[in-house]
Amino acid sequence: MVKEEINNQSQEADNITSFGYASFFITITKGFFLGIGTYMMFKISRVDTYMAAIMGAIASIITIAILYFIKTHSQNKDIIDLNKSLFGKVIGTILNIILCVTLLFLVILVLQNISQFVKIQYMPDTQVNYIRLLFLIPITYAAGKSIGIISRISQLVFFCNLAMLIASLIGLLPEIQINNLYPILKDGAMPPLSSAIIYFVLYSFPILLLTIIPNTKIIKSKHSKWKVILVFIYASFVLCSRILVAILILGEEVLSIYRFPEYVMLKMASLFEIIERMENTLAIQYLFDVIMFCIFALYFIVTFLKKKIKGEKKEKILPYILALVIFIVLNVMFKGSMLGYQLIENYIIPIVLVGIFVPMIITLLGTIVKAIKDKVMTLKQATS
Amino acid sequence: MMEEKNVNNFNSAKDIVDYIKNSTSHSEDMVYKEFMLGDEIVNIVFNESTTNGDFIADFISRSLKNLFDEKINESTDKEVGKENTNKEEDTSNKKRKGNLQEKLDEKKQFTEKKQENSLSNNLKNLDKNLGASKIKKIDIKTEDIFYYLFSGFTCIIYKTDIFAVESKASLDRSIAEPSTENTIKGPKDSFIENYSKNVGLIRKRLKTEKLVLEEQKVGRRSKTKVGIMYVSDIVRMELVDNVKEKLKKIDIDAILDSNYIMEILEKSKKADFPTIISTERPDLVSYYILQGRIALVVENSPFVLVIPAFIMDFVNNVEDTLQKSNGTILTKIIRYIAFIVTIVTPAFYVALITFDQEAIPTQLLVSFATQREGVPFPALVEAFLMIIAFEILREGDYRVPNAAGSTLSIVGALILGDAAVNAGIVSPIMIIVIAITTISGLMFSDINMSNALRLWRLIFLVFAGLAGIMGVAMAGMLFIIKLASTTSYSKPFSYPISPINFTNIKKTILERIDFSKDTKRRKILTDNLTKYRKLKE
Amino acid sequence: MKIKIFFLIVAMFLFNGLNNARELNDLAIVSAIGVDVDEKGQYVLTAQVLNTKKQNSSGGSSSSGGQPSLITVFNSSSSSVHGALRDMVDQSPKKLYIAHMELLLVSEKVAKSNMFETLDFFIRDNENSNDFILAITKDTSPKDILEVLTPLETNPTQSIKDSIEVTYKNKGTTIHNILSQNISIMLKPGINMVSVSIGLEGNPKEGQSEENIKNSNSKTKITVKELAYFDNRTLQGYLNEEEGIYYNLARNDLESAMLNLGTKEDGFVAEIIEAKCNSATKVENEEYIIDFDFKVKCAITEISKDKHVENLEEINTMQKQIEEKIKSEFISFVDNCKNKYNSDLIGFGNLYYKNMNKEYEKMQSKYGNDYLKHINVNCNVEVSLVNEGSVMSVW
Repeated sequence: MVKEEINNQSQEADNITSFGYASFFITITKGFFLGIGTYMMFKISRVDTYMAAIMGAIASIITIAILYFIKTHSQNKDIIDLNKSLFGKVIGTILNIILCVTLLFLVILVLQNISQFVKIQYMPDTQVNYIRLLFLIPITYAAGKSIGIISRISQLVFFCNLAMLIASLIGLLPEIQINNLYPILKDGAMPPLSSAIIYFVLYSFPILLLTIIPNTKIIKSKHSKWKVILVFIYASFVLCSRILVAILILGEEVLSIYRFPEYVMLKMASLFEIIERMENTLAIQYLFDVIMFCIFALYFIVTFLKKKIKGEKKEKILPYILALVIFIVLNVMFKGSMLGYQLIENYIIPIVLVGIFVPMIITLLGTIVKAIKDKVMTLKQATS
Repeated sequence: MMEEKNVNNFNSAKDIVDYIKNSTSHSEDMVYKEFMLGDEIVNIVFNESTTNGDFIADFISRSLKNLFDEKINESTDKEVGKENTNKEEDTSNKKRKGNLQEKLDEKKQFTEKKQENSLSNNLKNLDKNLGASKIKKIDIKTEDIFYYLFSGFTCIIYKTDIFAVESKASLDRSIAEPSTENTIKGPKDSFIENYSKNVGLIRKRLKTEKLVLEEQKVGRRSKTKVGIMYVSDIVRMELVDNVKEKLKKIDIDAILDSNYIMEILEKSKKADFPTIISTERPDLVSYYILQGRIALVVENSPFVLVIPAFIMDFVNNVEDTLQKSNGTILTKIIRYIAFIVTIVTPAFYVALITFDQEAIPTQLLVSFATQREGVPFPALVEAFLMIIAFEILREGDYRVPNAAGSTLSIVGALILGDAAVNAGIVSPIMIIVIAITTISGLMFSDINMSNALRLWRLIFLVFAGLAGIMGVAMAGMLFIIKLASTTSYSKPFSYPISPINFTNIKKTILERIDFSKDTKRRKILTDNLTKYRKLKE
Repeated sequence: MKIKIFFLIVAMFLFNGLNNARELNDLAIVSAIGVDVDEKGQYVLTAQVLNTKKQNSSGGSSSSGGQPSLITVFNSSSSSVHGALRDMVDQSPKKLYIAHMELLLVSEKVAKSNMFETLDFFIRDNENSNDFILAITKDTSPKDILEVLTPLETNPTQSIKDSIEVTYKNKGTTIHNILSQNISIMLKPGINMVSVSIGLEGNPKEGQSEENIKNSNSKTKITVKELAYFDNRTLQGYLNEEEGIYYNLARNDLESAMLNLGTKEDGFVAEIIEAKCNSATKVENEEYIIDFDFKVKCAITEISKDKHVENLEEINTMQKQIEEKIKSEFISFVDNCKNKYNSDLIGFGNLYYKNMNKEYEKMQSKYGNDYLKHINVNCNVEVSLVNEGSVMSVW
């Protein structure tokens, strides 16, 4: 009786509205913004990074197209069941395991980066483990919940980030100097193009993770496609504006000497000339982005593991076991902080490409092949 | 489970009376009376403390006697009429028989027989003959006579037939102003502890025939009536069935207040925030019922429950519909700022003072440092002490009787204000911070909501003391997660904000659409979306 | 859920994470630091700390015995900047907290050697936000300046900072640069840095006590002096006081200035209210030409005899006088930059770097660091008189 009640109660709360589904496009995609994405982009194309951001945003439409195509032909399953049904049990499980292991690795990298950031800028005397534990508390608390609750979390975080973005833009706009944009395209057009590829890979791969939501859980409403498009334009606007304002305020030379230029830019913000030094408060938007990405990635892994393991009690402990694994790996791998940067810079793009894009494209091809097969069969049946 | 009664052994009224006497262990406030109507004996049993003695004396006794007299006169008149017609023929025949005594005897026998027949019949069908407003025949084998006795009914027992007549005493206070939800404008009546008056206060506002009242009795020893009210063509019936099922499953000794039902229905251990509204104002309840919610009226409780609840119902006030909409926009903005201030301010202050001193302007920092010289406690401990002191003061304010009220609160404020600062125990800035926090928390009238906000204030404070601004951010994330995962009857708790619905955000959070243009109901609560409000031009 | 939070908090205590929590009473809030080098090559640091000791509320008035001073000064020396700062804790009961520092004084000796290596500590530290003012002390040492108490403001650092700002806004002969702007100018190609300088008048020993500010005319005062210019990150010399106005004008930073025109008998004083500057770079026949275009609005504030303001011709002649003066002074300033100071202060090279990048590289490859002599500057001034004061005719 109790189980039925819980199921009944959570069923209606388990559905996602169309705006909730669209809000994932904003909150999940910025996990790699602070320190990894912008660091690599500013190193390659110094002043022209905003062009790279715009080009990368246009290129991200490819990922949205892939996502849309997989979803319409997915027969209302999520990607784990879809892989199993398209390719059989063995190959499907291998694809799923590649996805999950890559995601776990990316979560570890992102957590290492953000805890280094907090340790350097906020609290240099504390141990790193303290900060890692502090980050893991909300992530594990939320990763074990259902997708309806996570979509509501993402909508609330969207509002908070909107407020902080408006506050930081209002505080920073008086300090802009437009002649920091010159010289334009000093080294030619190649650096912005390669930066655009970095943008495209790092900021749009989380969109592909949205295939974990089966179509049955989304409540259809009119204009749901327009909502997704509008929200995606807003997300690209946020990223491009952060990069653009950082370039305009700091200038070309200062960008290259700092490790976290988008945080240093916030140091210049001053509201009404009284409230200054708000960078610690305004940088909370970066922290929330990272936490949302980690929540969603862990939810992906937990959903995969839930289908393997049965039993209600074991299901509840799963996020905590994952958190323990992450904590131990962090302590073992990243003893000093410098090792992380080399690893991240050299290897992250191939890891993301091979680990996430390739399985998704294989799934896409599988759905195309199956759709063609079904059409051929229906044609045969119609004629015969 | 019913205890075994020797219900089949009742042969006469005396057995029933003895059974009642023994079961109540001869309680002193049960009154047993016997009426004699001619040759019939009618027993009356009632409980003196819950019944209205005047009513019994006036109405029941007199109407029984009237019944007796009427029926005699009627029947004698009829019979006399018939007899007279018959007797006239006889007397015309036997005119000078001269046996007067015989004639009188015959008459007497005839009339007496008629009397007896008619009276006992009437007494057996007393529920149809007596002119009381509520009278019911009880079968002692299947129903519970004690429920009727202690609810203020008088039991008239005639030869193993029991009739219960309502004669309640009025043990309630009169309808007065609400004690916790005061408003400046608008209706000022509030619910009291009388069940039918509460239902009446709602009925007189919604005079539609679609407003349905269903009743259930909950609680083994208290047998409290719980009434479910809803508008049948607006509400979703699955919600009603859900609530009814849950109420049937309750097996508890007594329901002493509507809070018991609230706890059972909402599984309150998991949720910090209250997910059921309990209010004292009938205009608010009618407003909610029209939106498609259900109201639960509980006997002996002046608080009516409304299901389901959203967070905006606790933050918004009923005054927004009672005042001009231009002025309430500013009031709403101030209220939302107060909501954030009351949770975050002590934590923010402690985080800035302890970890991130660079965010404070220099002049302010110098004055803070000067004030904190000589204070023995660290800032976190000081904040905890002040919060505890203010909570004690506030709680004492509720309990102290009016006579001693003002002196004690002045003493408390003086202690916390001047004396503590001068003694060097706390710094003056901490008192200002905690005072701002507590004053902002007074905006929220529901006590459960204030308790939830107080708990979150403490959690934020602990995290701020551990990790500064980043701790505040983590606690904020936990708050968001908790807010997003509370559901109220499988509807999301933070409704217009988290499953985002822009029309409802405009309606509830930002501004209120004029009454003449508000033509749609909320889709989450009901399927009947149109209201009939468009002005015809 | 609450049990889990409690358990995690206990775990966090085990990691001993409260190292970063510091009480306000444990901080010594530094408001200014002075860097100097002594004969042995060791850094001598002076720190001015705000006094946050609680004053007795029942204390006497200022006539009966002195009140404690509102700043205290610490000195120490060591071979590195950070070492010197740490050595100060020998004398001070609290740890120094430099996040609210507002002024950094550098002596001439340090500025002439390697200034920015010494400043690396301040740039790298996480508590700073690089929003303090960098100033050179002219003819004195930072230690003497930091020990002087000032009238009109209780916090001497605030007094220095405000006097720099007031000079910038009203007299125009100094600049208002904070360290982050200095760093970005230093790192840019084709431009050299200019910085504020501060000097001391009177006897430094007398300035340390309360007696200095008790009289109406204090003997020891801190004044703002001329701008100091750099070349290749080392201090080279000082500009004239008037040239600061034209430096600000060329960098589009002038708020207000005052010009004395004419001789004593028929001269007048003009005050510049608004000034705008546009610059355009050109390359013609292998010659590098920059055109400056100034638009200035002036007001007349003081006239000696024999001038009638209501005549249109008078106004035109006055405008022409102002234009010529500005033009001639500016050209002489540019010539001074080329010949006397030998450093590119206004940033001609940087203009080429931003607008015509290829030409800049050609110029670098042809002339190296000597390109300044080959740049010609044209100047065009437009003056409009907007305000003549309230007196219409001479009296």
